[in-house]
Amino acid sequence: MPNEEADKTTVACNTGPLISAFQCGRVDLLKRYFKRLYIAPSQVAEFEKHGAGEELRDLIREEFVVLAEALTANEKERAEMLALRIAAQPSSGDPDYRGHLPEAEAMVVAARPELECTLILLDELAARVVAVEEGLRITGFPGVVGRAGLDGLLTKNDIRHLLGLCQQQGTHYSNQLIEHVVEAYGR
Amino acid sequence: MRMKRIAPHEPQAALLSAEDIDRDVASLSEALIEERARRIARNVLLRSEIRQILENLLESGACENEEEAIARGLKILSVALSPALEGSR
Repeated sequence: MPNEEADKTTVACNTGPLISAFQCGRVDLLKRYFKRLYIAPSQVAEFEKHGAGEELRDLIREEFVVLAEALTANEKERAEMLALRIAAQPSSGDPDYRGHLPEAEAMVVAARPELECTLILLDELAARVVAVEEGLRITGFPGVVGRAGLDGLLTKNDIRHLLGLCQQQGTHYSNQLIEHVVEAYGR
Repeated sequence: MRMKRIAPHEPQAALLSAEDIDRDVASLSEALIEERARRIARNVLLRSEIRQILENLLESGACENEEEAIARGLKILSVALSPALEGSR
C-alpha cells in the first residue's frame, strides 16, 4: 500500500486559496497534500484585513504556514516588476500595481530554490498568467478540492457545499465552475 | 457550530474556468507523484545491498543506468509472479 501520508509537497501560497480554505472550514484538505505553505511577509496584512489573522496565526504556530524571510532589495525590485505585469493583464481588476504586490511577492518566494516549492497556490487569473510566464507550476483551492474528490475524500455533495460556502462569502467561483468540479471530481 | 465569516480575496477578480481547474488538478497530481518518486528512490537507494546490486549490474554492462536496472528488475519480477498474481484476482 502506498505510503500516502508521506507524499506531501511544499508550496508557496497566495492569500486567496488559504482564505477559501478558511471560509469553508477545510484547512485539513491543504494539510492532506502539503507539508508546509510558505507565505510572503506582505500577505500577513491581507489576512488581517480579511478577518483571518487569528486563523493564520494558529497555522503559523503549528508550523504548517511559514512566513518566508523578508525579501531582499533585488527580490523587492523583482516583485514590483511582476506586480506591474499582473496589473497590465486584461483580466486584472486593479490597474494599480501596488494592489498586486502580495501575489507578486508570493511568486518570488515560490521561486527561491532553497525552499523547494513544487507549486504555487494561486486563484487570481491575472496573477496566474504571469506565474505561468515565469515557469511556476500552479494550482488553487478548487484544484485541491478536485484532487480530494479523486482520492475519494469528498462526495459530489461535499464539493458543492464547500465551494458554495466560499461563493456565499463572496469568493468569485461561478456556479458553472462549481458544477464542473462536482461532476468531474466528486465521488 | 457557527462558522466565522471571512471576507473574500479579490471578489472582483476574473473567474477561473473549468480548464483552469483541470490543469490545477493535473499539476497537483504531478507534484505529488514527483514527491512519491523521490521518497521511493531515497528509501530504495539508502539500502546498501540494493546499491551493491545496482553497482554490479552497471559494471556487468547488463543495464545502462540505475533507472533502467530498477525498471527492468520490476518488470521481470512482475512477469515471474504473474501466474500467482492472476490466481489471486
